[in-house]
Amino acid sequence: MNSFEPKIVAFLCNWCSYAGADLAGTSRLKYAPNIRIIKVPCTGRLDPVMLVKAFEVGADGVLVSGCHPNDCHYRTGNFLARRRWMIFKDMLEFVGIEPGRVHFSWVSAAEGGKFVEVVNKVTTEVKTLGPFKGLTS
Amino acid sequence: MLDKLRQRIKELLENKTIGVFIGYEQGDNPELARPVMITSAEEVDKLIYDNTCLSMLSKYLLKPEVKASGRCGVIASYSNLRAIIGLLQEHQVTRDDVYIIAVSSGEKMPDYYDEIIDVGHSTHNVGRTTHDEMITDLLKKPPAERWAFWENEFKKCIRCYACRQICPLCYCNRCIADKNQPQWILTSPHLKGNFAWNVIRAYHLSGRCIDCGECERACPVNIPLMLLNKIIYNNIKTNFGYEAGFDPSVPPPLATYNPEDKENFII
Ligand code: SF4
Ligand code: SF4
Ligand code: FES
Repeated sequence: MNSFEPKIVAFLCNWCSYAGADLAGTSRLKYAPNIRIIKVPCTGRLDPVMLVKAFEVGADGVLVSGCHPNDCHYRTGNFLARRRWMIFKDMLEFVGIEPGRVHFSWVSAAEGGKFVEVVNKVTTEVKTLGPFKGLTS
Repeated sequence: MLDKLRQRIKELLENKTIGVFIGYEQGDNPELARPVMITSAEEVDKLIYDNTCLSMLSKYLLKPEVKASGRCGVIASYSNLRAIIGLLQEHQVTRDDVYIIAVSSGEKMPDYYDEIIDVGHSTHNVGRTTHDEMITDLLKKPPAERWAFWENEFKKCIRCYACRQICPLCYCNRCIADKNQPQWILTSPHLKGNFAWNVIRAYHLSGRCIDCGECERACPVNIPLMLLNKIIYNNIKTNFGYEAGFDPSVPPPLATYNPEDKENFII
């Protein structure tokens, strides 16, 4: 029995994934209540230092989600972000943060169902890993 | 070689091709030559060039007082030259600001210099080949052991910022580490802020680090900073086919994208 309930910070872009989360809500879909949503204007706005900050203040996992490629409201934000994510997640993995704690997804405004799947998947993975204790000392 | 170098700098100063020259002189430390700026032909005898000439000179090119002295001549070892190319690419200096005397010690020099001298002996690439092996070894360990390794390293950091000050590509007037509204990076030497500082420093050099090894050499507590730089460097090389410091005319890899970029890690 795993009674651990992880804290997961979800950075959602205003134009797609946040609306997708909203759709999940208005459609009365149920998903794991472990995420704390932070709305960002675009995934391109997300500075990786914010992921570090999330872990620093006690997150066990993070999720970043935005518009599908070619759908970014600012056209190129998610394309630029995609390169940063790849580099940053590999570095976090290298310093010992399990890849299961750091997730990225594309969720459009119409994908309430996908939002639910993503959140549940991320929550399960972080739950399996247990609390992040790296920065608690 | 030294005579030739001194003679050439003398000519360049006398015929006003350059207003100032940045090179090396013998300082107090016999193992590490001191950077020197000379503005008159009489001073050229100070100049030396040997394998104690390790310091990167490119950063002096950014100083307002250097920029105000006219075109600046500079000795450029392999790493120095790559750093200068990085600065050209990021529009921190223009090609007309600098007169580059490349000194090759066997490496294939990028083709951005005004003159080249072959010194035949190697400078400025001290033992950096071991990094790739260390990275492979670390990656074989489970995440918890890797974290333990890095926690131990990051804990040592005293936040002196020598790694930043020495880095030829770290030139922001206000570093994120000095900002406190909001304070993204905690300033006290504690694991939390140290973790943020060390990963963000490396990240801010993604696709910009020219693999000179200066940060690691400058670190007073010997944190293996090059491992972090190299994990990013290798990643960019593999995935975007790019290495910094060779061509100032191409866009830096993180300032551009390819619609087909790898995304198998995205849900
Ligand atoms: S090796 Fe270190 S000092 Fe040299 S460019 Fe890279 S980050 Fe800067
Ligand atoms: S040089 Fe070393 S001790 Fe100083 S701030 Fe950089 S990593 Fe920390
Ligand atoms: S606006 Fe959604 S990713 Fe750019």
